[in-house]
Amino acid sequence: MDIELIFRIAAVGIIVSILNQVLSRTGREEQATMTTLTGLVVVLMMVVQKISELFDLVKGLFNL
Amino acid sequence: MDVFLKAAAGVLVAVILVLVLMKQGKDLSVLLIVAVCAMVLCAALSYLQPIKDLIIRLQTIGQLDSDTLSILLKAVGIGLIAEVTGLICADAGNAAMGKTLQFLASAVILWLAIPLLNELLELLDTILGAI
Repeated sequence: MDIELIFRIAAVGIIVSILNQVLSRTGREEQATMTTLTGLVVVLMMVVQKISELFDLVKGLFNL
Repeated sequence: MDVFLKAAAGVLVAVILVLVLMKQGKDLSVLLIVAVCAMVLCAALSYLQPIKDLIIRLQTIGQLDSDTLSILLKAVGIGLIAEVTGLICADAGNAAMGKTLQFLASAVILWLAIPLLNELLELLDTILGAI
């Protein structure tokens, strides 16, 4: 089990939220939105790999 | 056993992190939930592999039809994925999508079971024909 993935996702989330707040307070709403979107895509890329691994395992185990 | 304890600790930490992320925005917290569920399921499936081997051994000993067992295994796999996906959808606030996926899974399992039902009908026909 790769516990590090949990911390990686949480770290990205916290960094994105801090950046989002800083950019929002300084009046750069568009950049804040883009930062949030980028963070989302980065985390999505991590999660998609894990989901793919899970589906491969299920396919192999249950002969799907 | 070590993997189980690791998973329990990881899930507890992840719950707290999800609560922290939930305050900032729900999107990343849902992704964290998906990742944790995928990781725990991967660990669970690694334990299920020897059980599958045992079932296949029992099938060989009992000289059972391999198609029947294959259909049963497929049904279990589809049900597992549909259940977990439905729960994640419900957690994310989209219970309708989760329920629809579970309905699709039920339909697929019924579709897979058609050969079994046909065999059952033929068996009934044979038994009733003999009477």
